[in-house]
Amino acid sequence: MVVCFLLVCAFTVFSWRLVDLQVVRNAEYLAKAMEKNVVCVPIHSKRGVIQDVHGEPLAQNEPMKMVVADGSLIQKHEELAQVLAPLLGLPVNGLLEKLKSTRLPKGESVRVPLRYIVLKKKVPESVVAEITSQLVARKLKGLRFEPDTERVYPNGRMLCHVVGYVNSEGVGMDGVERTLDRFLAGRDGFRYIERDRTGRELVPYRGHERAPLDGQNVRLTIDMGLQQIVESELEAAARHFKPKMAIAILMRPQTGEILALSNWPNYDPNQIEGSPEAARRNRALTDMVEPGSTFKIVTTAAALQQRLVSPATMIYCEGGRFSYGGQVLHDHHPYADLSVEDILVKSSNIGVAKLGLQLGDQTLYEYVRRFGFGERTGLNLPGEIPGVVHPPHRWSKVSITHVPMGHEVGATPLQVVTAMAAIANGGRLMMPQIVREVVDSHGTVTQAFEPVEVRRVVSPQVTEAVRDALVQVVSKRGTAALAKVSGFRVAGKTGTAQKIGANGKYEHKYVVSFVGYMPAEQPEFVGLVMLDEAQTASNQNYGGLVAAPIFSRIGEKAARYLNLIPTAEDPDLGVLASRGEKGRD
Amino acid sequence: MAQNKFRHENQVKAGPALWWLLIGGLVGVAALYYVQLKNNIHASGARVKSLEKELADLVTQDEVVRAKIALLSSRAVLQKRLDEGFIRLAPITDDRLVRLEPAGSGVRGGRGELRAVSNREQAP
Repeated sequence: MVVCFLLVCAFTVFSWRLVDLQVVRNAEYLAKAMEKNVVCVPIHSKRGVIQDVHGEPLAQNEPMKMVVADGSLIQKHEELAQVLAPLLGLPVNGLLEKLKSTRLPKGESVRVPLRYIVLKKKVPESVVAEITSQLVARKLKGLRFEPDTERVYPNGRMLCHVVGYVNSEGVGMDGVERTLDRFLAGRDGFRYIERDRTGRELVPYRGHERAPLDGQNVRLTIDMGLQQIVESELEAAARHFKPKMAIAILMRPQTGEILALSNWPNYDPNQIEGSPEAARRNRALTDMVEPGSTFKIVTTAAALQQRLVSPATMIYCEGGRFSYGGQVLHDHHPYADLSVEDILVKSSNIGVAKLGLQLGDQTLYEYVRRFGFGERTGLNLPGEIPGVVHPPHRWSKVSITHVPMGHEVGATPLQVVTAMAAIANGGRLMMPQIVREVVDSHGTVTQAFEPVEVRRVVSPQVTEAVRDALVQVVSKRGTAALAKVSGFRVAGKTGTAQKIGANGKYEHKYVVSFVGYMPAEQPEFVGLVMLDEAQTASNQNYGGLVAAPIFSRIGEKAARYLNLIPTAEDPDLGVLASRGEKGRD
Repeated sequence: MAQNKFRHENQVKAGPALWWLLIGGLVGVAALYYVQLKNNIHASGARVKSLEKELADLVTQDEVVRAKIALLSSRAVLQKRLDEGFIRLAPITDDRLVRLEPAGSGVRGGRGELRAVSNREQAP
C-alpha cells in the first residue's frame, strides 16, 4: 500500500514536471533552445562587374573566405590560436583574446562565449585549404569559413580615375564604383538554420530564407584599346615634361561618349591605402583652369553665328599692341589686318578681343554658357565642378577683351573637350557619357544610356567655317603644325594659359593644351591633351610645342586602332576631301 | 465447485489478446518506419549539404580561375610581359591579311551587300 502511494506520488511529480516543461514554460525553453541552436546565416550577393565597351573586365570579384569562429564550440582555445596565427598573419595573443570573447545575455548573470567572431576577412582559398587540413588533423572545432570577395582591378593604374575603388565593406568610394553603386551592389540574402550540438547544420530544419540578389554589370563607353594608347602617351609625356598634372580625353563627338580618359598622376586601386590623396583626383572634372586660346573657338563661333562677321572679314589687329580700358593687350607676333579665319589660325588675342567687343558683354556671356561653360556637364562620375563664368554685371572694364581669349573663365578639361565636340558634330552640345548600359546577371539590358543632346549651340554652317579655320591651325601656317597626323586632316586649337599665383597675379607658369578632332571631314573622335606646368624651356612651353605632338601621336595610333582610312595626303595641301569619304563604317 | 468456477473466469481470451498484439505490432512497425523516415530525412539533408558545398566549391574555383585569367590577360600585365620580353608582337604577313572593299566606295557597295574578299592589295 505504502509502495503504491509512493509510486503514485513520484509519477504525479514527474507528470507535473513534464507538463511544466512542455506546456507552462514551453515558450521560455523554446526561446532558449532557439537562441542556442538557431542562427541566421547571411548569404552574400556578388557585386556587379565593370566592363569596357567590348566587355573587357575592368573591375571584378575574386572569391575569398571570411574566417569566423564560434566561441561556444571551441574547446582548445590556445591550440587553435597557435595554429591560426601564422596562417592568418595575426599575433597569437590578439587571436586568443578574440577567441575567448564573451557576452552577457539579456536577463542573465553569467557571461557566455560569443558565437560569431570574425577573425579575418578576405583570406585566399589556398590559405583556407591549409587551415582546414590543420583543423582536421588536430581535431579542432569551432571554426567556419564564409564566402567573401575581394574587388580586383585587373588593369591596375589604367583607367583608375574612371573605375574608382571600393572600401573594405565593398561600398563604392570613387569613380563609377561610387556613382553606379546602386546598380553594382547586390542585396545579401539570409537563411535561418538549426545546428546540432557539434555545430553542424540540421538541413531538415531550415527556416525562413531569402535568396541573394547579385549586383548588375555596368558596361562603359570606354574602349580599352584607345585607353591604352592614351595612357602610354600620357605616361611618356609625364616622364619627359614632369608636369604637375597631365590629362588626355578622347570623346566621340556625335554621341558624347567618352572613349578614353586619363589623368596623371594616377594610382593603383588594388593598393588604395598607399596612394596619395592628390593622385586620386579625377582632375578632368574636379579641377578648373583658364582654358586660354582654346576658348577662342567659342568667341569666333558666336561672332559668326550672330552674323557680325564672315570668315573672310578683315579685322585690324593693331600691329600687336592694343590698349583698352587702361590695359594693353599683346599678340605673340604683330599683325596688321587678319581675316576672322586667320585670327584662329594665328591665335590673335587682339583679333578675338575685337570680336568680343563686337558681340558685347551679354551676347558673349550667353554663348559662353550655351557652349556649356559654367555648368556641370552631367557626366556619371563624382566630384564634377561647374567651373566659373561670371555674369556680365560682375565683369571688370577689361573683361570683354579677356573673356574672348579664355581668361577670367574657369573651365574643366571636360568642358573644353565637350565644347570642341559641339564644333565637330555640327553645333550640337552633347552630354558626355561614360556609361553605355547596365546589364543584369542574365545578360538583359536593364538600363541603356542613350546620347543626350543638351542644346543646339550654333548652326552647321558656322561649325564648317570654324572647322576650316581649325584645319589651318594644324598646318604650317597655324600654331599647331606638330599636331598633324599623316594621311588625315586634323582640326584643332592650341592653348597656352598663364597661371595666376596666390597673390592674384600672373606667374611664369603655364597650362598648355591642344584640343582637336579628326578626321576633320567626318570626325571619329575629339581629343584633348593638357599639361600643367610642363618642365621645359620658357620659349618652348606652348600648347603647339608640348601638347600638340602628344595629340599627334595619340591620333596616329588611334586612327590605326580604329582602322580609319586616310582621307588626305597632306594637311597642308588642297581642299578638304569630299564629305562622303567616311573613314570607318 | 466455486473454486472451479473462479478459475474458469480467469481464462485468457485469445481473440482480444491477439487483437491487441496486432495493434501493438502495427504501432511498433509504424514507429520504426517513422524513425527510418526521420533517418532518411537527415541523411538526405546531409547529402544536400554536401552537394551544396561541392557546388559552392566548384563555383568558387571557377571564379578564382576566371579572376586569374582576367588578371593575366589584362592589358597592364600583357604590356609588362611584353616589356620584359616574355612575349613579343609578331608582324602579320601580307598573305595572312584579308581585305574587304570598304562599304560605299564600290559601284554597288551599299551596306548589307556581299563584298569581294581578297588577300591581295588593290591597285591604287
